[in-house]
Amino acid sequence: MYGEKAVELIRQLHRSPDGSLPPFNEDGIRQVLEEMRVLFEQNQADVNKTVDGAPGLFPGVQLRHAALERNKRCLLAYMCNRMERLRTMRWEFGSVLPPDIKYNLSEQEIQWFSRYNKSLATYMRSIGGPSGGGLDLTQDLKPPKSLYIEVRCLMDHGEFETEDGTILLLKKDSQHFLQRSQCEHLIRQGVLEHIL
Amino acid sequence: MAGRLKSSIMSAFKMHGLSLRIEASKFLVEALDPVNEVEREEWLDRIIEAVQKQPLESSMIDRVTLEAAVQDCVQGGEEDSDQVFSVIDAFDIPKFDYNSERKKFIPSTALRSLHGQATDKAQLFRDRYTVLFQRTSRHELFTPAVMGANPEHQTKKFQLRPVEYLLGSVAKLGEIIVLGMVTQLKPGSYYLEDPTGAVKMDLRWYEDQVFHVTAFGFPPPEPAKTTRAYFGNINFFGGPSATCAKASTKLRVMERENEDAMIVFLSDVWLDDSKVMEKLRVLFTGYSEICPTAFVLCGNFTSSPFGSSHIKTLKESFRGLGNLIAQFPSLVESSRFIFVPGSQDPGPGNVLPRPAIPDCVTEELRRKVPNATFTTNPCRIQYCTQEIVVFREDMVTKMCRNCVKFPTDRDISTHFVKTLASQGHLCPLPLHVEPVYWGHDHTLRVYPLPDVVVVADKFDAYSNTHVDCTFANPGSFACNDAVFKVYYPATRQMEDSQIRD
Amino acid sequence: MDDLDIEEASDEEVEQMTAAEALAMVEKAWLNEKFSPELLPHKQDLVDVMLDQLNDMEKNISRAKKGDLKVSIHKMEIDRIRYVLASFLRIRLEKIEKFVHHLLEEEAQLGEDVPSRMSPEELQHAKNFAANMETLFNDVVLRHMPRNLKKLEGSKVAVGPYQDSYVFLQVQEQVDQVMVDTAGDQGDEAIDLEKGSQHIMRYRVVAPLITNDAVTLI
Repeated sequence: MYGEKAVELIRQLHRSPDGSLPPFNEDGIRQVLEEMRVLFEQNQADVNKTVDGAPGLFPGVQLRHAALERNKRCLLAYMCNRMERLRTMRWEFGSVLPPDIKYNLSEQEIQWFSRYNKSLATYMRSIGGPSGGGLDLTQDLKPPKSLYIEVRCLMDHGEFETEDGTILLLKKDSQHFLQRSQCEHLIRQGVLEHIL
Repeated sequence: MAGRLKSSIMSAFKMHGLSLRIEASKFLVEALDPVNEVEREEWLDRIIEAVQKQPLESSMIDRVTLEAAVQDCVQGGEEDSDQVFSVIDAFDIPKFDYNSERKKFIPSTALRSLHGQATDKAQLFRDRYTVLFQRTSRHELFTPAVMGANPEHQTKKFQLRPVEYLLGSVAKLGEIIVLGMVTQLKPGSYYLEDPTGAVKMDLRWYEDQVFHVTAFGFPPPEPAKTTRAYFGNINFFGGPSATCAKASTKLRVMERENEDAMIVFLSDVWLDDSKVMEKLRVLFTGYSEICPTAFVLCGNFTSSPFGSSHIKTLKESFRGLGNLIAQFPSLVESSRFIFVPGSQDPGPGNVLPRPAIPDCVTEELRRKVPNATFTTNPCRIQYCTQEIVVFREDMVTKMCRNCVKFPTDRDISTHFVKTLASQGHLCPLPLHVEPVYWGHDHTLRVYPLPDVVVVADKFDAYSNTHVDCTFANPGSFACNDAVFKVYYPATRQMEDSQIRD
Repeated sequence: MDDLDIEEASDEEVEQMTAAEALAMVEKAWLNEKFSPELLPHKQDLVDVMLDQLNDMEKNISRAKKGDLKVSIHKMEIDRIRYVLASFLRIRLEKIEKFVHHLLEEEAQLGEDVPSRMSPEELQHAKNFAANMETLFNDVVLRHMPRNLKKLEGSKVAVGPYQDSYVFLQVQEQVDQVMVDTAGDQGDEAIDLEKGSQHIMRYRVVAPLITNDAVTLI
């Protein structure tokens, strides 16, 4: 039936766990676009025939038009949903995506991501006016419970400089007592682990 | 003061989701300190953009990446100048493996040695098959029918089957199509082989357990445009640019505007033959006014490539050529000279791809003519958006001798051209006829089809366009009365030429 | 906490706001924004003031002796304020990106003097976001579609906030005769909202009351 392939695309996305992105189904999209092209051509032909006086073709035209609209809606929903998941990833992973996620993205999605990144960065820098210096909204995601936290290093990260200039060597399995705001982004990246 | 600059740098990077390592931040603080405040913001923005263009593995930026990014910024728009013309050695051509799950070509990062492992030999044929199979299965004949299409308007669809389907079925099968390699596993009888198995073929009619062939032909060729529509702008060709040269509008404009650009192709340039040198002198005199973009001279470079004095003669001949070219200072300055070795020129055996002629032989010429490049056989040339492949080998005779069915009409060159385009390979011959380094078979691949393929041969000169690709043979300069070809990229014309007496 | 007197650099009025007052207003705006289904009018000036104060506080701390207990306490306070500000702006950003086409259309239809819901920077981000989305859709699917379906119609794609969701609210000032339309055939009912009382009702009814601070959402 018309529109099956489009729905299949959406089902595939729906099946994948929330927050992850399955590989970009370029083939599926191509097939749906091909179906749309064929439907449109047939509609054109029928419309021309109707103009020339042939009766009874209108329901067919309507059906095909409805199928076309449905296909378009499915395709846009597929793209939009992927885009939203990608947006969530910016807030979770930061602006450099891990390679296994990048593998699943199409070229245009990667470009979208970098443009979103830029727009977000420009906005964040502009907070507080020209003298304000901006506010990083990707930090402070949870209400602060304490000023300092105990963290363990999960991998060799090398030297790390805190705000007041002290340099720490982050070696694997070393434990440190750091200010929460300084190391939050490292915890999110998976370099440090918060010990409760 | 430095503290404030440092914190503003760190926070700018943080907004973009990046963080700097200590050495990197020190470096940037030093670099931006002399810049005044107003410009600093701008520079910071540009540097951050350049950093993001680099291949980043994590959001920690180290000093090396940062330095590269700053370099990029400072150089600005100079990047394109190198990419107008580049000669790509066979050993620099990137290898792409086809991943059938994702239906994409993934660049292969494995280190390739010259003499491969035993598995490389089998992989060679498997790779050739995979490239052709994915291309064929995308062809209209084999793609499943689109829902709702008018049945009258459809072409007849076939199923593309692997050989194991044939071997596995007992009943008599109807019409099917199989893609496979024609081999002779046993002398005298032909087999059709693919990664799943081999089946005996009969090109006539009778017998059981035998694939009765009603028709056989090559997999349909694919125009380069279609290939790129599927696979995007990956740079299959090689060369300095990360994306395909065709995607660059700057280069396209440059190509169109530069109407006088031309590339001259000569083959069998026997430098120890006085007549050849005379004709070369006439050629260079003629072209010294309108300097061509490049001269591509293919081997063999000596008339008698044997004997103990071969290398000495070759060295002297190159010196002579160097002196000759030096007499035309306009050419020395504005034209490039590219030398592609022939099968009898010095080199390690007769295996493809053939490395460039050794430096010790060509030293003097390279000193006199700084724009001379000695490259491998085959080699690739990228000029603006056009992709040109140059290959020096007497392919036509070899193909004729080894073909399964000789064409009935006498138009050899058209058949040859069609064969190369369909096979997507410069040398679709068994390894005992034309040995190839097993790990480097991809250097002979012409998929996606480039714009021009020059197969320099001692066969008669021809030029043919098939599937948007121009195939040409300049003919033997030494033997065939100084024939050669000139290519005009702006109009995509290949012109025949000759130096008459 | 020390009172730091800050003068707000606004042309119209010189407001003397203590840090505590500013924080209280920010917290109120934050809660309202958190529980409201739609994007409330922006509080750009307030954010600017708060951020200024935050920066001043940080400067003060860096001057103080290290190891002083006061320093840690101030740092905690700074962290807390930063969290509230960040959360406030984050929630707004999320809503802006979710309702982008709806908001942009509303923006386009605003009159000359009517203030916009979004601050200028938020508006710019919204425009960028919409354009970015359109480029993505265009490049991948829309340009391959048949002629009459090539455009992305903002009106068809726009998602609007659900005005009828229920919210908890606390009454700050007495409001009389609020029209609440009940379901069924009882028609509209007028209710008096007593100061200090708490109710749950549909957002649509109380929307105007939030803007003039008569009620706050909880």
